[in-house]
Amino acid sequence: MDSQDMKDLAAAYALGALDPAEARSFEAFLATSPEARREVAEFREVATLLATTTEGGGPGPSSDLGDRVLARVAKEKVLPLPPAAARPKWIPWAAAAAVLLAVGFGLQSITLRRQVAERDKAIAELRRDFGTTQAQLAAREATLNAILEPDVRLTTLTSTSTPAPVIQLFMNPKKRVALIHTFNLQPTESGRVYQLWFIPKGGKPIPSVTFNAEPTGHAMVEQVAIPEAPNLAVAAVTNEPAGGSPQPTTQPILVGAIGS
Amino acid sequence: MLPSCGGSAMGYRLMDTVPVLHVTSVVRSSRARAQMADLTTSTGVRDADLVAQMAAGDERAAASLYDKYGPTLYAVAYRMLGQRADAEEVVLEAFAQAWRGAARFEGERGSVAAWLTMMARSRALDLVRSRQRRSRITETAARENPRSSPAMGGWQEKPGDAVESDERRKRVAIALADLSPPQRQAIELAYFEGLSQSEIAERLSEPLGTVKTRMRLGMQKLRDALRPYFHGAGL
Repeated sequence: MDSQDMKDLAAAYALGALDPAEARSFEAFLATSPEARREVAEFREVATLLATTTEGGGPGPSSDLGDRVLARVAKEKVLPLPPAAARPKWIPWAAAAAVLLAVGFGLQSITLRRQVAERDKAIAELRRDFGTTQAQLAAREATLNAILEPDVRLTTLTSTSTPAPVIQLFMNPKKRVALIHTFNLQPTESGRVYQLWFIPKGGKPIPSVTFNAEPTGHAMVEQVAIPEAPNLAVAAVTNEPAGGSPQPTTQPILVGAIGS
Repeated sequence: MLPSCGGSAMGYRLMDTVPVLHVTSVVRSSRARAQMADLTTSTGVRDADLVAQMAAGDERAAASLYDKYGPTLYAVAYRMLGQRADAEEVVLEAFAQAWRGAARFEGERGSVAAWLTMMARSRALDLVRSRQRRSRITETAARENPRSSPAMGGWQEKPGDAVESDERRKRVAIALADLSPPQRQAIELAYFEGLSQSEIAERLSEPLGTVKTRMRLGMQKLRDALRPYFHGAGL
């Protein structure tokens, strides 16, 4: 994409003036270009300033709008459930109720105590489920953050076979960490894995992570450490025995040049 | 996906959510510290802190951000919807969205002001589209008087406003006036009407390339004139 096109797109994107398909495709480009992200950030500040020109242009809001904002925000606080370590607000009530029941109200108290115990159990289960969901959301968010960070560069490893497998290698050279994302990558035969290599210019391949693909052809590997070696020039993937190899034993199936 | 761990001594760890969370939080706080060191305006420091506090569940931070940016968010929404109740609903939804997304705010991608304003404008556009209404004023203006700038007109100084935001508004008005009318119109139709470039080209019976160029040149001129008045310093 040439610089002029990029700036046209950045200005329009910041104003919300790209149609959805153009916007999505520009976003994919943005993930790879810190320069474009800077243009967009600046144009967004301009757009924000446009917004300030509207002030005073009509009747102001109701005087209770601020209170209503806080009420709306408080509603957002009710879910999620607090982590297991914290004390949720309603447990003291349940504890108090249990104490009252313990004082003794005959047969009815036994039924109520059981109900309270069952409710506590349901709450504990919900908290566990929520903890899992929270962890999944956090993991997904971290992945997206890793892809969208300003310093990240994308290398696509390609092959000549058909259907062509694609491996995207997102590298953050500052943090020395990378992320692998694959499409159309056939799972290996049993007893074998794919292995990533970082190859310095004129040097021996440096072994990296091993991974495999789902039957869908997708794989994602996060937190791949980028070796400290200088002049990393090429990333490659080979098919190795399970557990990986110290040096490649087969020809690379996918190769890509990584800028340093 | 079943990545297997390489048996090498380098000990790569894969798909382990706890370290991922840890790395994210370390990154965010060290980035925030770097930002604070770089920032030259106190406004920027406070805003990013307020968002972090919202992420931690502190409603007072939401209250502070409302005091600061509520008027702008309301004003943009009112400009686009023409109804107080609708504009208020947009402000509520924007703050709810900001609250939910506070942990994901990244200062390097722009200021808190830009973040909040974008959310409000998106919610306002959604409401406009779902109610299939356009501001009578701006449609009329675009059709009958392409040289008018509804966004500029009619705003009044509110008593007790910070000197800084007054100065900013004045500068923006001047910068807008310096644009050629077609540049200004393209930008306003996009931002306040929510029209895409193709829709603008169609509405004005102009070639798409012309609209794209005008939009970019206009935005570049505004950016160059208004850079000192950008909110925060998240760039």
